[in-house]
Amino acid sequence: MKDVTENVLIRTEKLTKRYGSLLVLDEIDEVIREGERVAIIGPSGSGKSTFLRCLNCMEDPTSGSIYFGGEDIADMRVDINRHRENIGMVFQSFNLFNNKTVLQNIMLAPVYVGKRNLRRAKVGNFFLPLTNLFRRQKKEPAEITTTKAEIVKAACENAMRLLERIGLSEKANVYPSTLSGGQKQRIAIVRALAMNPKVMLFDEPTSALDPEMVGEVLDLIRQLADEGMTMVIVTHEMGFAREVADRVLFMDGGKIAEQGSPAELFENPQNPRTQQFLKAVL
Amino acid sequence: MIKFLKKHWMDILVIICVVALLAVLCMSVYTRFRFEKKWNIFWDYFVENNGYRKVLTGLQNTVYIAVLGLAIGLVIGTLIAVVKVLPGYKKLVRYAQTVCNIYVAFFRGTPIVVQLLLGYYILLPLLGVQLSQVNSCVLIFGLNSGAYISEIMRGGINSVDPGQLEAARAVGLPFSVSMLKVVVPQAVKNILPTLGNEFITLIKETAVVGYVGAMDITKAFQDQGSNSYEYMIPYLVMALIYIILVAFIAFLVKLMERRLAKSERRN
Repeated sequence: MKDVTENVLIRTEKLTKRYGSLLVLDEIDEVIREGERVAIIGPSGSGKSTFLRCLNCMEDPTSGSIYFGGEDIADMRVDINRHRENIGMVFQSFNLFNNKTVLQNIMLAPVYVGKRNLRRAKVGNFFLPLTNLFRRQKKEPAEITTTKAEIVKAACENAMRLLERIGLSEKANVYPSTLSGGQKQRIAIVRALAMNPKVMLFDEPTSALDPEMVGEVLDLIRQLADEGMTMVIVTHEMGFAREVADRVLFMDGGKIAEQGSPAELFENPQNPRTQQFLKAVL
Repeated sequence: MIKFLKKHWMDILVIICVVALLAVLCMSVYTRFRFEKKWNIFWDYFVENNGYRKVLTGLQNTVYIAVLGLAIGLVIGTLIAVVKVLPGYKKLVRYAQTVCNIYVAFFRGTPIVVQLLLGYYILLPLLGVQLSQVNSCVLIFGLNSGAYISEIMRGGINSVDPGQLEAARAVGLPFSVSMLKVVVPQAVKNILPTLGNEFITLIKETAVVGYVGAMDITKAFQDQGSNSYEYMIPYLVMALIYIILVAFIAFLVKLMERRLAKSERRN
């Protein structure tokens, strides 16, 4: 294994998840490094989706810690929203906002976050004379370089750039119900990208798609991988996992049963359970 | 012919009886109720002695109470519904849910007249709040419809795919913003016909505001009736006005539904 402390993005420590008496994740210690592309494979019910959803606290872990951005995000006191801005997530069932157009879908979060930061800076500056009374080292007012209109404009331009990239710019003003599954999933991916995340989590991104549309979505993910985006992919596409991933985790019974480079894991699996699984799916 | 009579004599008898009864009824209505005289009295009071002014005030108040009541009810109902669908991890949330349950139980469990009397004659004076009769009615009707709308809204929120909330949270929006921008608009679209129904119910329920002395359509026509000792035509006109109001609202709801359904249409 490489040096563990180098460029660590997400680290889980004794990550455990229970649903009642059912143990789904069993004390998982795992590290995701910057620029790494990790594929998670395994049989149904092995906890691979739950593990992925725990990484941005969509599911709160029962015990254990998840370190991201220098904080334990499994701690309920941490502002999870601030960290989720840096963790993009793509779902199996796309989950585009049905009441918003494609462009609004992509712009919603960046505009909200931008306006919120602007508002906080303004409120902070307003109360600065008051709060500085209690500070030994006086604080300078935060510099406000942008306006609400500029934030919206920048978000809109960014969204259009992303849409052009996936070749769907003419769909900017239609509602998601008019799109095909592949188009929806590609838009869901760029919606996550619009926040400039440090890591992308893919939860079976192609499982709900027609076989015909799997290719276009995988192509987009492959492009992202080539650009050096850190990503964690739960997938049933063994060929894709083998091609894109730097490291493959095989999960079974809430544990990581085996892991290694795709070549090692697919050509020469050590664990009997892995051998059995790969024999069945390949 | 005889066969036919033998077979259907019972039906024929019934038809003849009904026609005869109707004829007698019409005759007696015409002679006994003396429409023309009644209409003259009504016209005299309604137009020539400015009775219509009271009715116009009443109409204005009825619509005012119902619209503002619905607005207050929507805000309260949405808040209660959101509190009720929160996951109950924290103690504070569970306390808030209990308070909401008690609120809904009270306002659904007592008649609106009782709430009006309690609110107007007891609660508001106790709190030292000075409100006009119409405005206290707005307040009470708002609180009342809030309880009903909260249940409607809860159903609406539950009908939205949980993935929508998940996706909103996953891009970093806080719970409140995700609800406001993504889940509640979709919920409202789903429950719009039911909300329209609630508004119609509300309009008709405002007929009891006369209990606390507020002037509405019902009160206006009641006054006219007792002033002129002539009730039939005022009451018939009153019913007609309610029907027209409700039909108009139903039409507006239809229009809104069509507008909100645009995210489902292909274009």
